[in-house]
Amino acid sequence: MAFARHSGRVEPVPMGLVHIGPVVEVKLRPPAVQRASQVQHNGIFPEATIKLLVDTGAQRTVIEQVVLESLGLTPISMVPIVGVSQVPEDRPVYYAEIALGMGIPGKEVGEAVFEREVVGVESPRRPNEHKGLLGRDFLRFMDFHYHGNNGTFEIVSVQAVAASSVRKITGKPQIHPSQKKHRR
Amino acid sequence: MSLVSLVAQFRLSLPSLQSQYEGKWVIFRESGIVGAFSTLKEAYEEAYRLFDNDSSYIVEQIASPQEPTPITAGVLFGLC
Repeated sequence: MAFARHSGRVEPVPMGLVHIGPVVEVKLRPPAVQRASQVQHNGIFPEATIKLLVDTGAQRTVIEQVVLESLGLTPISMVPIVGVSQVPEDRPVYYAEIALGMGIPGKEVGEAVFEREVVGVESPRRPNEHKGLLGRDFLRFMDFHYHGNNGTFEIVSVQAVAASSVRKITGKPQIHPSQKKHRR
Repeated sequence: MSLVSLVAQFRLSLPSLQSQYEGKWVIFRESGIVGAFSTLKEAYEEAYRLFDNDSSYIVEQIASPQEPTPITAGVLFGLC
């Protein structure tokens, strides 16, 4: 059985994976219910293509707050996080959709869509290429294969994923029905 | 009411809510709980339907207070 997978490599191979880490490109969107409203009012919904560092040391997925708020998202809660200061501080939590491109061997590409809480963090003083960390709360629904020897990695869709917040690969990128009607 | 104040009010109310709503995802406003749901997605979608993004509510799970989590493991060793 061929599972949908996202294959990644970081240049220069293989040491890019050592120096930078496993970075994936994702699409960040408001959740479906908000997108429907935005399309209804504006004809289109905002979307950001950003890079995230896959981090098995991060319990939660975190993204720079300015990026989340550029999509019209507002916090739904706060959660205590310990950062470089070593002092717990409350950070805002947003509800957002993260879409990761996935390929199915021999078939069309699609997306693994992940609608969950994301913690907003301050932008670092020294900007990174990646805008956040993809944590274990996301990896819980995937298998992560790290091929250090050749500097590549894969994120593989798990067949038995049943979490309500993750949509399985459909073979085509998800487009909200209302966007098809109203796209300019 | 600000987000910070709303979260503070929720945390103070949490012990009294656990017996009735343990494990549920709730929409919480200054007036109290507006609705309780089985999943975050259901709670968020109902909150958005009722209040849009007007910042008058939070969506929380009724559970024991969360311990602070490190942003990444390196923080535990002062490496970040």
